[in-house]
This record gives sequence, C-alpha cells and structure tokens, in this order.
Amino acid sequence: MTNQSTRNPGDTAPPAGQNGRSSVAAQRRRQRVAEVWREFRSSGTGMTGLVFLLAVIALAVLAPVLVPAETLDVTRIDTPQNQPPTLANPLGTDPAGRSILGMLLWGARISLLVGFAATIVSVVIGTVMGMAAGHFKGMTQGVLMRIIDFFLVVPSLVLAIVLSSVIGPGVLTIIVAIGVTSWASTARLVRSQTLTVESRPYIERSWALGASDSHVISRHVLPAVMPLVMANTTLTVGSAIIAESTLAFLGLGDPSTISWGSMLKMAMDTGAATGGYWWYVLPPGIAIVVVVLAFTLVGRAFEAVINPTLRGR
Amino acid sequence: MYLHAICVFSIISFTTEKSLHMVFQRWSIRSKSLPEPGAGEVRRHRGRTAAAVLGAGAIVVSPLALAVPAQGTASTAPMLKAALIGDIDTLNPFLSVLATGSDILTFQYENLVQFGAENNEIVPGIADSWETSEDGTVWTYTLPGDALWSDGEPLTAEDVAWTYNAIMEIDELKQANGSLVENFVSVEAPDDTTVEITLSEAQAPNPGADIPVVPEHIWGALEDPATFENAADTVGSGPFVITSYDQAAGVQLASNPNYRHGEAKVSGLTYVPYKNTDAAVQALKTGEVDIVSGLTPAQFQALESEPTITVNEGTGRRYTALAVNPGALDSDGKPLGNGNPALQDQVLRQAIARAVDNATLLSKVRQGLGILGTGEVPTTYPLYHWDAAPEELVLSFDPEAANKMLDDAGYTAGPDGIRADKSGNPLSLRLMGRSTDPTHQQMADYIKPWLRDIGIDVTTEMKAPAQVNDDSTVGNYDMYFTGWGMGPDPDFQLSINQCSSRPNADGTGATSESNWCSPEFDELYLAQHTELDQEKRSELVIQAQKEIYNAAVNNVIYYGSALEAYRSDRFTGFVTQPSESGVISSQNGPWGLYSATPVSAIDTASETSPSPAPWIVGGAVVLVLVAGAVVLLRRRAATADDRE
Repeated sequence: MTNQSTRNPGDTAPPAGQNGRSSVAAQRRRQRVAEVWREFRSSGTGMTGLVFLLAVIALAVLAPVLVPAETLDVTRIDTPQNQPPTLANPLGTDPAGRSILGMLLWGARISLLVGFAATIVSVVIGTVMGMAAGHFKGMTQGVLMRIIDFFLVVPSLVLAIVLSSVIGPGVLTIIVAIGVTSWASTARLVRSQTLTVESRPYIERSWALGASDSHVISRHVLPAVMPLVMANTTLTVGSAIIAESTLAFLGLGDPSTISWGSMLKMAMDTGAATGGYWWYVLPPGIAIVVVVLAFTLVGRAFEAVINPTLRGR
Repeated sequence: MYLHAICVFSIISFTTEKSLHMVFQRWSIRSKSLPEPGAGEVRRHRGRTAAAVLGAGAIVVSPLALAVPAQGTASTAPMLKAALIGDIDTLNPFLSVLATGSDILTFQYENLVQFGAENNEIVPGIADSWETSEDGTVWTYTLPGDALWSDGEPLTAEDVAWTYNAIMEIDELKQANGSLVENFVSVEAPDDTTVEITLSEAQAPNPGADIPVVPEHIWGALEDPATFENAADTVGSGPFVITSYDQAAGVQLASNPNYRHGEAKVSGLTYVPYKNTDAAVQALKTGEVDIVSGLTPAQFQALESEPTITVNEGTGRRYTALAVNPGALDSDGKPLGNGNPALQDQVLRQAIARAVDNATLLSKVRQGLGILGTGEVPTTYPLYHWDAAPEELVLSFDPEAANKMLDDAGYTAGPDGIRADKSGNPLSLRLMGRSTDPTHQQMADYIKPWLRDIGIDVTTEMKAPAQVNDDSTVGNYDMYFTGWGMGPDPDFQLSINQCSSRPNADGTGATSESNWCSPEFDELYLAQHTELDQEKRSELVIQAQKEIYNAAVNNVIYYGSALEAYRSDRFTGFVTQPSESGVISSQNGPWGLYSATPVSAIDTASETSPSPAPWIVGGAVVLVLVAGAVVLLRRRAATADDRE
C-alpha cells in the first residue's frame, strides 16, 4: 500500500502508470475496508462477539499482571484444595489449591495462542495450495487436488494424534498438528474462488498483456480471495481452539502448561466430576464454548458483509 | 470445513475410546513380547498401573453388556458384581501377567500354600502341611487327600507335579511364573498326597507359594496349553471358577461347591468392564456394580457420605517413588541409555532426595491417603518394612542442607541460579511420568520448583505407559516416577536390584529396578535369600533397603492406600488382608470377595437401569449443541458458495 492516493494518475511522471494504478487500487481497497467495517458494525451479534473477544484477549495478555505466576506455583501456596468458590477465589481451587480463575486466565493464553498460530499455519497452507490448485491446469492441478483430497478425507483428529505422538507433546506440536491437518477445506474454498476470479475478463486482459503466473496470482487472485480467507480464518480459530482442548484433554499436550483442555483433563483424571467439584469442571468448558461462539459470531458477520448473498437471512 | 467440526464432535462421542483402545493394544502387545519370564512380576505390577489408568481419559461409557446370571448355579444367592477397569490380558494362568487377569485367577486356582488374610502369613493351601530338609533344599508337602476339583475329580499330588513340571519344561508356559521355578531341580509326586520339591540351593521364600495349580485332567489333555484361552466352563479348586468371558460383557465366575473352605455365600462373581473409575463410581451409585477399587482421593471422599456405600482405605502394597538414573549399565557393563552423567555422583542424587518434601506430596497429591515412605517394602508387610526412626532418615526434606551439600561438592550456581555440573554445563534434568496417571503430573508440579530451589532446572515430560516402560528399561531417563506392587515376600523385589539383573543392551533380558548395582547390596541379597531364620532375614532385608535408600536411586515417596468402595446395603462381611486396615480387592489370595455375605437375598433381583453420569450427559449435550451450531452455520455458508 502507498499513501499516494491523493494524486491523480495523470499528475505523475513515468513510471507514473505503476504508482497511479496502485494508488487507485489502494484507495479503492481502503474505501472497501471502511465500507466493510461500517457494515460489520451494523451487525449486532458480530460486534458482541468482537467486543467479547477483545476483552478476552486483553485479559489473556494481562494475565501475568493480574495473576502473578507465583500464585500458581503449587509449592508457594497454602490455599485449601478443591475449595468451593469464595471471595478470595471466585471460582474455587483445583486439587493442588491453585485458583481456578487464575488458571483460566493463564489457560486463555495457551488456548488463544494455539488457536491463532494453528490458524495461521492452516490458512497459509490452505491459501497457497488452493490458489495453486485453481490457477494451474493439467498434471499440476491433478496432483495438488489429490493431495488436498487426501487431507480432506483423512480423519484429522487421528492424524493430529499420530503427529503429536511422533513429535512429542508440547504447545508447538499441537500448533503443527492442528495446522497441518485442518487446511484442506480452506484450500478447496480458495480454489473455487480462484476459478471464479480467473474466469473474469480482467484476468484475461492481464494474460493478453503478457502477465506471468506469479503476477496474476499475487496481484489479482490473492486480493480477490483475501476477504473469503479472512472470514474463513475467523471461523477456523474457533475450531482450532476446540482441537487444542481436545488434544490436551487426550493428554497429547504439555501437561505442565495450563490450557483449558489440560484443566479439563486434570479435572477428569482426579475425579472432580464424581467429587462434585463443579467449579473445576464447568469454567474451562464454558470458556471454550463462549470463546468459540464469539469467533463464530465474528466470522459469520464478516462473511455476511463480504458475501452479500448471505445477508438478511 | 464443517467436516472439521464434525470431527471435533466425534472426539467426544467415540474417537476417545478408539484411540485409547489403540494405545492400549500397542502397549499390551509390547508387554507380551517381553521375552524374559524373570520380568513377570514387573509386568504384572507395571501393568496394573497402566491398565488401571489407561481408560482414565475416556469420558463416554460404552454400552455395557449387563451381567447375565451364570448358568449351572441353582443357588438363589445373589452374585457380587465388581467393576473391571482396564483390559484383561488373558485368563490362562501360565500367561497372565496383568493384575486384571491374575487377580481374577486368584479365585480360580489355589497354590500349594497361600498367604493368609490375617497378616499375609503362609497358611495351608492345597497342601495341609509341609516340611523342609536339614539343608533346606528339599521341601515335602502333604495333601489332605479328599480335595476335589470343581467338576468332582479328585485333586491329587499328580496335578501339582504336572503343573510345576509344565512350567519348568515348556518355555511358552514360563511367562507368568517362570522366575519362581528357576531354582527348582525337580518336582515329584511319590504318592497321591505327597509333593516333593528339590531345589538347587536353599531359599527362604516358600517354593509352593504363588504358583497356581491347574487340573491335569483338563490341561494335560490339551495339545498346546500355551494357546488355551481358559475362558469358558473352566475347572478350578478355588472359591469361584470362570464360566464365561467376553471383552464387552466381562467375566462370569460361579461359586465352586467343592471349595475346601466351603462354598461362597454369593452364587458367583461378575466383573463388569468400565472405561474409567468415574464411570464405575456412577455405576456403584446406581447399583449396577457392588464394589469398585482403584478410586482417586476425590472419588473416595465423595463416596464417604453416601449412606448405602461403605468406603475402605486399605494399606497399600505398592510404593510410589522418584527414581534417579545413577548411570545405567547393560549386562556387559557398557553405558546404557542417555541419563545425565552428572547423576552418577551420589551427592547430587542425595541432594535431590533432600529437596523433595514427601510429606507435602502425600498430603496434597494423595490427600493424605497413604503412609510416608521409607524403604521399598510397604508397611502392610511389617516383617520386612523398614520402620525407620526420624534420625535414621538422613535424606529427609531439607533444602538448606541440600544446597550446602551441593555447594561443598563444587556445584557452583550461575547468574540465573542454576548450578553447573562438573563439566561446566548447567544442571538440567528431565523428569518423566505416565500421562495416564494424574498424580505424576501433580507431583511434577511440586518437584520442579523444589529442585529449582537447589539450583537444578527440570523439564517434565509425561509419556504413554509403554513408552515409560521402554525408556526406564534402557536407561533413557534422568528421573522418573515409578511404583511397584509387592507380594508378601520381598525376595523378588530385592532380586531385581542385583548387578546380575541388568538388562541387555537392547533392553531385553533381566529387568533392573533402578539401573543401579552395588556389590554390598548383592551380598545382602544373597544372605537374606538363603537365611532361614525369620528374625535374621528381616534384619538383612531392612539393611538391603537402607543400601538402596542411601544410594538415592529410588526415593520412595509414599505407600498410597488402596481406595475401594462397596454397596454395604447389599453385601457385608468382607475380610480384609491384613485384617487390620487391609484391602478387599487385589489381595494375595481369594479372601476378600470370597467372604462377601449378602445382606438379604431379596435384593438380588433389583437391578436399576444404567444411567450415565449427569456430567457426561451435560457435557455431551453442550458439545452436541456447539458442534451442531458450527455445522449448521458452515452448511449455510457452503450453500451460498455453491450458488456463486
């Protein structure tokens, strides 16, 4: 992006064409962003989700300030174990006497980190593969599509479990496991959009002017599929958070890092459900549900904005 | 995209079970492939942990096939239903090494002599009396002569001799008890009521204990006893015999009318399989099962207040310890595994032991349900337990002393507080535990900061049980949580600390408890092994445990109590072993469930329908809703895309 949007194409000396074109495009894109934001703001549910998410992210970022790590060091605390909610510990304590609220905040860091990081991995792979599979023809396309199909039909949970047991437990493992297994549907989505875009006349004109593959993909196809990818990303984060919790619950995460999934696992393993310690079982579960719901609301609203056929339904 | 959502949903519904099942199978195959029968006890007890906790991650109860009344018992007495957690390896007594299988077989087959309920003392089993020759190498057992198998055939000395000789002669039958006959020269039956066991050298443990005797008229007629499943209409001499076994429906046992101590007061036993103890506890509450063992402290405390349920805290026969790798060597004396070489220094190992507060671990992780550890033999065996005075425990918790030890030994701390080892590298150790045992992670949460306090950095890694077994066998660890269940005689437990029990370079062969070896210990082991005077032997066994303690290779943290609960509105009169605060399930003998007495015969027919735990239902509903919402939303999006 440049900030030359105030200039008119004719004002500039050569290579004015290049600058002029991008400045027009930039201006148009900025307008479009403002338009999208205006329409997004009019969506009540979308805004609710967004505000909630920003609040959760702020809490997660501030967790070390709000709940110093020392208060979760089991050797430094003497709070009663499995204590029901009190004023000092609004969500009670876990079997080691740690505050559930504090663990929930620290858990949000891992859950959000994994959610976002895995989504980035997934979306980058999915977008690149999707555009390539849509753009190229013949053998290349055939091979790419078969790879996508493979990852689409392989049960992603099983693949993720295998991956994390091969690489060994840990946060990075979970990010890779989720990212590598969840990109295929994004790729199909991007491919169909790529096919649509590439059949439009202005792409044909580019070809006629001698544009290279990389030019068409990066200058025309990528900007055109980006909105779709963005909306898809928001929804993928939700799935990634669930997947992270699942893998941690199954014991494939690093159990010494607190995440919502590992909290649920520990609650399950220590018999919190039988013991009636609802304050250990419910908060992480509800946190997952609410955050995933928020991502879904934002994603849906965003999708409706960029895809007018969805509106008003 | 919504495929992913469905996947996520399916996690909760069924994949959990599948994947866990997969893991379990891998593990059990591995355990069967361990070639050395000498490791029988190892696998049995390691297996117990593994099997008991493997299912712990699963949250959905599989549809349970409910108990079918055993055929053939005309008795109107009720059946006792016990929860079975973890898979059964086999019901063939020559092969069964997991606690799940061998616990059930305890009811089916008696031994020549057995361990009494009173105090794990040796009491008559198949044999009424026995005597030992002067030099201790010939043991002569006398049978009463009127005993019958459950099918009415006479039980004679021939059956005993056949069983023992089968184990001695056929390698495939050595899996479970092969190590117990290694010292045997011959086992003969001069007449129907006499068995003579000749040993190559005298031994203190009674050679007639621990080997289940099978009926020759059934097993002798088999072409290959090693492949016999022994799962339907079996014949035995114990209080119950197996009538059917099915992986989904569990195990049915009927009471044996010919049992020497009289027929049981219940008509039989049913082991109903459950995926985890939470599910079993719910079944206990609704009356689907009558007894559940292996509870977590939280479950135990929750059941204490139930009016129809009685909880039992039995003194455990298992120790839980933090093993430290002293530099593992293989049987040829070559280094084995990747243990941190710094730990070869005994001072560093002792400092680690002094930095760990066992009392806090017992009170916080086990909620105080256990007894603080000293040596390896738990308090339930007072003959051999090291009842140490506080001043004898020189490695008790004292971080200041630990820091001083390390300072004096020249481990200087760097700017970040982490000490450097003798070659200048920062002291960073790995701590390994089982991912299926929640207490391991909980203990690691404490030990990590404690060791940080004495300048040692710790990274924790929780692994699958099979992986922990493999890594600990070949010395691929710095520290790890271990635990062994023990029989009344400590001989086996000590024997695996000898230099000769070091494994081969690939982990096969003998099993070493702590990958540690000391000539002084070996002398003590041999001395107690052949010492026939009880008092002297006890003294030697305790000394041997002190050797292990001072080497700081296996720091016993606590002896966790066995936590059980049963329906006291239906059954009573359970005999515990030992009689004072002992266990009901998993005894060294059949006494616990054999002694079950129905409160009233009227209760028998009532059987409430299975109702899954409210938490499970609630959780499943929430997840179904979320997954459903995501699926729906994605479907709508997909439709719109299609239209373009």
